[in-house]
Amino acid sequence: MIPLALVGESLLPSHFDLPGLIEARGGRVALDATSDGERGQPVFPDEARIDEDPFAAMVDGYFDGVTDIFQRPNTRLYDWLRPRLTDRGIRGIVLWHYSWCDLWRAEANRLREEFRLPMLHLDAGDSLTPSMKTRVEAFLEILHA
Amino acid sequence: MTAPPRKLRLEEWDARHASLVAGGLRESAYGGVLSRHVGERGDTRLRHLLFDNSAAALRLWNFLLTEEDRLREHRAAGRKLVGAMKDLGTVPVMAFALPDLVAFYPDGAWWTPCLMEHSDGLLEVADRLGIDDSFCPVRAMLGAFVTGSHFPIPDLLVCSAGAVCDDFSAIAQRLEPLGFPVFWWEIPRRRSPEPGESAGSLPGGLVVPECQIALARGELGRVCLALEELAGRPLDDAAFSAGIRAANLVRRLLRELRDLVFTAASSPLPALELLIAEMLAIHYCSDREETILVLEGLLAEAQARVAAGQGVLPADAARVFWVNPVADLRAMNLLEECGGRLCGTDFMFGHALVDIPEDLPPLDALARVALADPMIGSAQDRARLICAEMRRLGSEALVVSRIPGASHCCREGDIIRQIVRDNTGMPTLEIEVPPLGDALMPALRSRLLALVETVIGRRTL
Repeated sequence: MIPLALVGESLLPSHFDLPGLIEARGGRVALDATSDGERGQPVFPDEARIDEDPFAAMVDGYFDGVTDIFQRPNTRLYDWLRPRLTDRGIRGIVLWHYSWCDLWRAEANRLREEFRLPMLHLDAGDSLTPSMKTRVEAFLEILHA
Repeated sequence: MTAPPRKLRLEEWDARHASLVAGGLRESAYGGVLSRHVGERGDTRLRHLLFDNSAAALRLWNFLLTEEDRLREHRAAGRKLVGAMKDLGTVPVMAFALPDLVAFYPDGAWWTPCLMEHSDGLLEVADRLGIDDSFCPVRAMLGAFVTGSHFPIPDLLVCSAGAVCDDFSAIAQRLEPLGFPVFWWEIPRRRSPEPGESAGSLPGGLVVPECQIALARGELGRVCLALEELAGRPLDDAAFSAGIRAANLVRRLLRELRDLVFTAASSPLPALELLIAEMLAIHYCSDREETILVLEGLLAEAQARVAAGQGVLPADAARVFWVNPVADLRAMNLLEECGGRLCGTDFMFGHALVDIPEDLPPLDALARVALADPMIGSAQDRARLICAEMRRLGSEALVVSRIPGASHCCREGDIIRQIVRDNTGMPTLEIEVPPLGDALMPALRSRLLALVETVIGRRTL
């Protein structure tokens, strides 16, 4: 199974079949970097601080621990992605964003330049369309070759 | 006033220029015939525009169209260039308060594809960088940075983040990996105070929580430190206050000019020149003192025309309040060709037109003005301000001009139009103007004609 990173916005319930679709075509989501995936989880590195000052720990956990595309500069996002892509042997990126989401769309080229991995750029609609499924299939076929 | 007001084509301006010079016109170093900008800079769009025939308008156009030269001269003279992005009127007040700093808006490159009728290739460069035409035409700025063939690359780039257009923020962010580091500062989305929350007032009458003023003050304080570092000297309160007073002089001149143009029986200045004049408020076209002289000239011309009972448009022109600047300058001519005239504008920087309080500590005063930015609050807030201005000025209709791809434009038009209709009963129209609107001009003309017809028809009801 080819390890892929799913990067971008949250999946809607109507998109929940996407990881299954990837698996059915010989891939697997080895890094869920969507907003609802591990990228969007707060980080609490200092257990003691939670007891000492839970409110401050929570603020730090969310403000410093969650990385997202809107942060300026957005270097944190790249710093977060870089080791995970390497450590998990990621061989391709599926960029998932919604129509008119300029923040993610604008980063597509930079993601390619920065990580030099094959990338499938999916402009999400209300559901997984047949054309989207075909593109996922073709992407994995290319990676398998 | 040197001749009865009328509008001229570019080729007519050469003869008019010769006649003005023969009559004793003294021009600034950047003066000359307008048509030279077509050959020297490739500003071919000028051939399709109609211009006011006054010497004051000639000076305005020459001042605008020579800004890149001026920036290079500043650099050659050892001054440092600050590229302010997005805040439209805030950071330059600080930068110009420091000697040897000059601020400008790289955002201004959004008009280059229009002026050069796409011969600049800036949008194609942006396309190649993954910023396609689903983004605002301000993406031309990206091309200008990469090619380096328009404005000089600034010594410091400053951009606001937070409550800003997503597309602009994405484009500015795209600059960083290309080797153009950006100093980011945050402007919060403006909100109303909660019950019992400590609040403060902004110029223009809005009220916000004190914590937002403190946040903006703190962020602008960081920008101030970066500017001081670039200038190699601190910005003391006396110099800062002097910068604010100079900014207020520009703003007062512009307010007086706008009110005269919007309310005179016959408009003493065309819409296109007014649009350009308003743009001077945000960064003084890289020369604050000259901006004051240019605006004083326009105001004197407008006053003389009004005193003589003259104007550039028929007295019965439909009085239109215009929202958002147009990517194609030709659209301003079109409004007037259709029988309309400007009677109020919101070109997205109302906060650059209000007085900066002079009785507050300078940083605090500037923070309050930054928070009065119409683009950082709700579209409802913006619409209410528009309604108040329409009533004050006697506007008869509203045009919301969408900027293609601009993230703020996808929903604000409906909201603003609905609130204006509900509150004023005025007819409203929403149009979209691309950087080169020739193909759309027939449709735009029909829509504007219909609006003007509606306005004229309502007068007899």
